[in-house]
Amino acid sequence: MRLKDISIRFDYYLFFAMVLLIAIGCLMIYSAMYGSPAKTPFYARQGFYALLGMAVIIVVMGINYQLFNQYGKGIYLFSLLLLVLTLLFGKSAHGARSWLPIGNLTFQTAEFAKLGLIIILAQHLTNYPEAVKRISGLIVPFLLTLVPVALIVLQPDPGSALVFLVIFLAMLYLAGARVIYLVSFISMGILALGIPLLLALDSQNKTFFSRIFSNFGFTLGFIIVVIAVIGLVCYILSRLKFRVGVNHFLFTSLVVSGGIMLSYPLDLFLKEYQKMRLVCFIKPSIDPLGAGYHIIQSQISIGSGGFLGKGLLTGTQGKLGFLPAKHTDFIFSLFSEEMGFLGAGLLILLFSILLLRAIRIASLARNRFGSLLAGGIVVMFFFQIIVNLGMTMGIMPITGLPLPFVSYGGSALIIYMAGAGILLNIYSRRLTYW
Amino acid sequence: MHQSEIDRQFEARLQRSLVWFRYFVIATLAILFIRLFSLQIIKKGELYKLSEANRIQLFFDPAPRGIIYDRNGKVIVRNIGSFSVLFSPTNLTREETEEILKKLGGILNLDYHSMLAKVRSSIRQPLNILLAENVPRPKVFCLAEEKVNLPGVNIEVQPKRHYLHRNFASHLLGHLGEIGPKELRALSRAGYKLGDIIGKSGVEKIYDNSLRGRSGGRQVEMDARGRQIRIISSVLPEEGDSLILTLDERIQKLCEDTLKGKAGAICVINPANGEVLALVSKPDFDPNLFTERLTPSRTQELFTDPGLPMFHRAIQSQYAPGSLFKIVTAIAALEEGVISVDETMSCRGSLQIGDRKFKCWREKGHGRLDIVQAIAKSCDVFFYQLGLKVGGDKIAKYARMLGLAEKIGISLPSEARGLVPDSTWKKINFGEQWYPGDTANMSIGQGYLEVSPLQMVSLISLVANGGIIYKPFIVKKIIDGQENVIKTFQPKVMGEVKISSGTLSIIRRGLREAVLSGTSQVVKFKRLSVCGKTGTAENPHGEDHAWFICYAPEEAPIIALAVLVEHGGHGASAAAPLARRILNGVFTLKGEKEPEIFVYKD
Repeated sequence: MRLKDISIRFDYYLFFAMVLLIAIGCLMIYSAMYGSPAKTPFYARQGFYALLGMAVIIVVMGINYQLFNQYGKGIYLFSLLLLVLTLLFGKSAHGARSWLPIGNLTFQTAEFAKLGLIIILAQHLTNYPEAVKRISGLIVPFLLTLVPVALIVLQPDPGSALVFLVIFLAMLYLAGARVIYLVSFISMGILALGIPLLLALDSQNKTFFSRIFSNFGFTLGFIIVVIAVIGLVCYILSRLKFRVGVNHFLFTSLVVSGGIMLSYPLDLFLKEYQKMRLVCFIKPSIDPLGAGYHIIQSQISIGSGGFLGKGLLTGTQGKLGFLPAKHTDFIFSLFSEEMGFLGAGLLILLFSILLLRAIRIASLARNRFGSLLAGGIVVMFFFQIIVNLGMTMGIMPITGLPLPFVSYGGSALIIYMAGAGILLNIYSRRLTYW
Repeated sequence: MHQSEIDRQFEARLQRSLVWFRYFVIATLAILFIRLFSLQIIKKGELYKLSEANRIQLFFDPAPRGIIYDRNGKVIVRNIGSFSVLFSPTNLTREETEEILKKLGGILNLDYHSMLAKVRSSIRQPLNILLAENVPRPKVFCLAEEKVNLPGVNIEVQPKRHYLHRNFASHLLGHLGEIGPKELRALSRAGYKLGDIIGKSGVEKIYDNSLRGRSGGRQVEMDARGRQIRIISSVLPEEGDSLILTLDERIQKLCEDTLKGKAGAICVINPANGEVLALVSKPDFDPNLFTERLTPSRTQELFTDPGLPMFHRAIQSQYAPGSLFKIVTAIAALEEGVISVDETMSCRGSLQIGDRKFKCWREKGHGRLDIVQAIAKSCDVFFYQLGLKVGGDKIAKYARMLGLAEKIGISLPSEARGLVPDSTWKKINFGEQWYPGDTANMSIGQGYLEVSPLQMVSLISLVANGGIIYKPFIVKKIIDGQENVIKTFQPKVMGEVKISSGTLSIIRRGLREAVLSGTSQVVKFKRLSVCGKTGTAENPHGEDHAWFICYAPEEAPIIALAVLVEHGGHGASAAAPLARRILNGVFTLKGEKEPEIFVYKD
């Protein structure tokens, strides 16, 4: 494939949306860190990473993405190796061992592992297109996901781990897995996560459910009762000539009891502050000076910007330190405060262009692998975008996920640009085999 | 199934899934967009206010209250700078707050847990929580050095009221306190606001409006750690106006020393114009205690103390006047013409009225006396007869004319009214008729009568000045910070009692005779002519209360005084000696200016 072909079959919309987002990011990092003494200013570092990312895009576009299919296992295993190395030799920041030092630089290996997972899942689902129709066919993809999730949860960085699970679910959905299985999976997750939160929210165990779930014996009894109720419902439905079989009963029971049982290890694993963050999302008033503070201050920042914003470098919330993590997780709040609805609306518009173009690429891809690969990358972007924006605007819990392309962070930026490069690659090769 | 068929089906599923996925993405982005719109356009005003509230804090700079001087320009009450430690734990995590409090506790020797409790209790308004006051200078320097590690901690210098002589004239000066909800409702129009410190009693209360000045304020931009970034605007506080009292610090001090260790009151006024020279009530309190906001328990004790140190006895206590009232009875009798100066009556130690025997204080009796001697010797039997001649209601009428059972109108809060009974009053309150025995009792100042020391000093003053009731006043002048006179208070006549000069001279002679040869001989001086009257208020619950009133010098009275000693016993033995000490001191003091006349050494 010649350069000329690439230039003709190049997705300029996606590319320039991305470039603009990165530029906004650098500008806001400049604003966020204005006046803070650093040898190399953060915005310059981010600019450097962006240039590095451009190089990565060029390299990625030069090779046929089918190579990822070929070397999928290798990439995946390499990403796992990096995760293991991170756990062993990683550097800690903000209570999580997420950074692998390479020379003077550090690398957030979980970002790379996201691409690794997307590639291996795309490869697997391409090779076994029929498997996902059966529940047994979900086991291998699930295990493929579970390994990096477990390694990342051990760091511990549950926010990132969640991204892997979402990629897994979305790619199975795109590959045609039955929605009921995915819904069951999500239900189990909600039960497993919901019960520890319920216990955290109601620390005195006053309500009926928290009293039950704080005692293992009661929980077992509760599971038996629930299974009995499910059985009864199934029986009644079958007598009413609905087509309800034993397998439905077993499946439902498994989902419910599995979810409840999973909540035990999860409850032990989740740190108190992580639970409080989620609880505070439900009830911010519970701790206005603690975990709820970020949610409130972020919304104040965004809202006080108004239509035109307070102007670059003049946002009081950001400048006076009321806004936390203003160059990373809450960069959107800073942007909205200083640039107003005009700027923030433009940002959402740019993300919309990026995502919709990317979905178009997934749909236009030459082959299954390309579609799934593109789909996985879109989901990775999409999920992190909505979780981050939702978090800053107070309609999603605080998960500590940065905003793709905008937040400060070298590894994330380079990996997402690589992802964009893969999308561009898939798009430019949509009509050719080489 | 054929491979191409599988591929085709897969492709179809994928495309279908992508369509749904696209809808989902669009819907989600739309929700985010709507949320953004709601925050930045619809809720903008509210959230902008919150961001301003985050950023800008309002600090009030209380104005220094006016200074209070005595009549000779001596400072009695002023302000001193006091360092307070304030804490604003906004934007601090719980751990940080706890760490800061621990550090503070180490520097200031304060209990960590009580500070934590204080911070917790003000979590709704976590701004400028007062953690320590009157912090000594060295510790302030320590704090200033550590300031970097103590975000949210502010040291403020605030003027603090300082009563130089602690308990000195405490009831008259009054005390300060934080404005209460009732006062706030009444005074909010006058510019008072929540948290203001206002006068709660005495001069501090009555002249609060002049004394308090106008508090200033600063709008300060603060960062999230509670550090001040810059002052946006500020208004300087305006110092309050100062008061020059009629009080003479030396006389007040003398009276306080005289009454030390006793319960009672002393009022000293100038009978020629009503200036209050001294006003003492014991036991008393230290108004400095009330300027400390953090230790209210110490002031609470003052209110529950059985010795009633907060009770201003000089104007609030009400006791029977005892023999002091004989002056009233005598005036009534002379004015009504029921007795003349040469008429005599005899005393055999008691008098039978109805079925009761009324005794004279001297069991042997006084023999035959005229009215001058009767006043001098304070003969009870003489006054029983005199009273019965005049009649109870007539005596009551004269008592009221002379200013009893009424507030005299001193510029201090909670003045007592007192009580003068008559037949109507008795009918209403007891449902009984007025007996001659009641008249007899009233004639010698016992029974239902109630008077305050202030009323008694007013009574003796009007005898001294010829029947004028002056408003006893405490503040001579109000001056501003540049010593410009804002207001001068002139003597004010509250009432002029029509008493013939003949009657007055008889009463005066009686009072003078009492000093020379009667019950008040304790205050007999070689070079100072005093007119005085003792009194003993019968107290069925314990020791009698001792009274003494007098004025001096006889020819041109410049001082009138009333002494009340609770549970002191007889006026002649318990109250008059105190008056002697005061007169002795006062005229020695006066002697600094006019030595040839008044120098007297006891």
